[in-house]
Amino acid sequence: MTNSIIHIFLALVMPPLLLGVIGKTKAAFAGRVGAPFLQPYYDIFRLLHKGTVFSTTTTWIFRAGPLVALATAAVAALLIPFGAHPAPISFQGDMILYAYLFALGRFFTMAAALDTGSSFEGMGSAREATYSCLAEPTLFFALITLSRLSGSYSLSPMLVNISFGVWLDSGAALLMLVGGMFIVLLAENCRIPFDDPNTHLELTMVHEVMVLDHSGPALAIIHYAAALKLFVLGAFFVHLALPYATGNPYLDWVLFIISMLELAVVVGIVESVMARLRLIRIPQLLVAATILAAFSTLLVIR
Amino acid sequence: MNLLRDTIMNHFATNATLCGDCYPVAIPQILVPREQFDDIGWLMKDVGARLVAEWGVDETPLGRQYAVLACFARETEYLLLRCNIPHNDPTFPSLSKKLAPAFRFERQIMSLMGLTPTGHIHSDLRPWIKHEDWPVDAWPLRKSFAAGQRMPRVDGDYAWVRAEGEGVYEIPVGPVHAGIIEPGHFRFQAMGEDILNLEERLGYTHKGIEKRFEQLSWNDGAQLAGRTSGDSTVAHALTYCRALETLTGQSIPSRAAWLRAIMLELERIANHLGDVGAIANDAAFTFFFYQFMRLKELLLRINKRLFGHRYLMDLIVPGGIAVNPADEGTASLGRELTDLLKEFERIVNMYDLNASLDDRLRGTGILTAKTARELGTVGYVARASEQALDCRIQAPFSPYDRFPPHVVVLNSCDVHARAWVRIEEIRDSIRLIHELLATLPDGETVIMLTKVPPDCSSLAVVEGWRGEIVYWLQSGPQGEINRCAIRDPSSVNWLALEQAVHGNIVPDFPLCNKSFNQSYSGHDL
Repeated sequence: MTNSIIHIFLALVMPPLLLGVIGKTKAAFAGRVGAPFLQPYYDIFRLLHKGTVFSTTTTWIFRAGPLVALATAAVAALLIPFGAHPAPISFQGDMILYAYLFALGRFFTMAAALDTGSSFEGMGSAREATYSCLAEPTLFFALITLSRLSGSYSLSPMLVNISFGVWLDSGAALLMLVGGMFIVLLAENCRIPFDDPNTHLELTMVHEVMVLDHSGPALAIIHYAAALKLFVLGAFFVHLALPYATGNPYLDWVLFIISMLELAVVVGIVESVMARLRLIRIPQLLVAATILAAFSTLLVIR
Repeated sequence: MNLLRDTIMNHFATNATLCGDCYPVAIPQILVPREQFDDIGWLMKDVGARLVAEWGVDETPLGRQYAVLACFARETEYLLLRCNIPHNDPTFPSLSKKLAPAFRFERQIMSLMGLTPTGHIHSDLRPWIKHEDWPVDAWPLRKSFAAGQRMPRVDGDYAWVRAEGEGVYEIPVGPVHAGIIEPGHFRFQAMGEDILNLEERLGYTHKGIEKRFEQLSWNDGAQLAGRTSGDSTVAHALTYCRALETLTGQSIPSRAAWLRAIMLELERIANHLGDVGAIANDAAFTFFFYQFMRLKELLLRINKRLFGHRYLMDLIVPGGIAVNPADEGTASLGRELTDLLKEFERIVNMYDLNASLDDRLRGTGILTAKTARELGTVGYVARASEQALDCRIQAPFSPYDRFPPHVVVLNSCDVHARAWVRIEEIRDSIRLIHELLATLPDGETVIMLTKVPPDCSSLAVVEGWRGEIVYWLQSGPQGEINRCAIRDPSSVNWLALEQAVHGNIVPDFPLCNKSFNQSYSGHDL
């Protein structure tokens, strides 16, 4: 019970902090002081106090977009184990639900964007649809590999199972998964080199251009849901890359928080040392991620 | 070096007359018959001259009627050609049949001066700069148009180029943009991510600068010139002042000439630093953006300390310069630039070695050498596309005749080349400033200008940081300003942007645009 409460508390409170850490890391690389760690919270708070403008051409789908995105990310957060602790909700086959919850959220974000009738948002939806199609196989290959390694179809046993022992045993397969899933993590969360969440150039945007017409609390929900998605996918990733466990439940929570912050720093470093990819090269990198994940599957089922 | 003049004189023989009272004497003005005005298009094209600018003038106060002037250049030779146009038939043969960039100049002449180009092959007579909410017959540059009046708003529509077909969609961008930049409208027809066509529409910052000049004194004109395009305030004010000093036939003290050149180079360095950083930023590489901006800021602070203004505005005045920095100041400028160059080289080294940035910049936004030549592009846009154009070499004035720049010409014609030309020019400008500082003369920095004689004209060209800036001044019957025609480099280079994006993908447009970084204000006037 305590673990479930801590799980939900972290899922609710911590996501924007990751964005703050990424921003601070980038600022440090550029030689700036940067915005405070808590800036994403201030931004969400500010937006919640603003009014919302709805275009008269839009329908309920436009209003549902942010809410569905938030709801799907929140449910996904309940399915994923944080650190060594199993998730509050866990059942056989929940990995499929996990994968398609994101697909549902994305579908509504794209539908809401198309609902505005703006060519910008249509352009963003087309890009999002293309790249998510290419990112999905990687996730499934990863899930197949992990279920093979753990003998379970549920996320909690599947991910908590990974330890240094498993790394020693099937290190090659896990290493390829880490590579593939890191690419998917960056792509799904619209980070550089796939997308730039800070850009003001509409023509280059993928995710941001789809939410151009949202304002006020709706925009706050979108920002928060995006942070939550990063947190949930990040939690999946740290299981693979940093499988620390001490056996002490409280120490394990601390280790989980530290590994999430480490991940944010790594993302910040990646964003500082490279430019965005040319948009037409993104599929190539996503296919490379799929190939990595497919090979890791091959290695464990041989 | 009189190829252009001889070509015209041989072709027109006795029909062409050399005009008097046009300065400098090295740039003659030749009057040709109006019916044969379009002959100069193919004559000039055959000898490889480029169309610098084309503009109209209302000479009613001088007892004449209208005229259209065209300026051509080839290597170090500049030439002005004109035809007179009667009040009762305000038309002239179009040059656009042979010279592509003429069509925008002529649309502008038609919109603002009401002189109609005829024999236009594609009949693109849509208004340019003047938008459709003004009456079609309101021609602000005519003398009969009162500058102070309020214009009635009218309904109208602009005929955009259209593309249709399955999967073709249109993206209207602007005129108000997300960044803090000037307004301009870009309309794309795209298919998937591929750009089929880009059409620009400018004029949103039209302020009537050319008309305003006609109500100002010669001295106030220098201030207005310095505000034509804020980031080129030194270059514009300098070009205006040079044209004015040519009219009065005076030369300025050499200390003023040296310091003017130093300011011009400082402006070039500051803008190039900002541009290279901004190009990296558009590829989402913020590290270089902040680092180059930091160097730019260092330079702006040096400007402020040495000359009293971060962007050196209003420091170039008719007859010289408005400040006279002390010797300690100029000595420290040299040291600080040496330090700045060291830091610059470190950052440029990182920039050069970064593969992900290289991948974005190379092969993007190619402006072929042929297109660059045909459109008459100038400045770094031209030099990145194999055109060896730099009017510090082709139309040098003191001290550039003694201290010529090293002109950097690249042949990859892409965003990378346009960024790299800037990097090389920063290095060269710092070298030039060192040489100028080492030979900085003592003495006066400003002289009184004598009265401008009536009914004479002069042309001045200066290589600003964007490229060749052209001012043509004409005095009226009392020696006042009758016409001040301005050609910012943007007027020709905007055309090249439309061509450079062909074959690119939509999300690479901001990079292409930033590598051109043309002025809206300088174009709209």
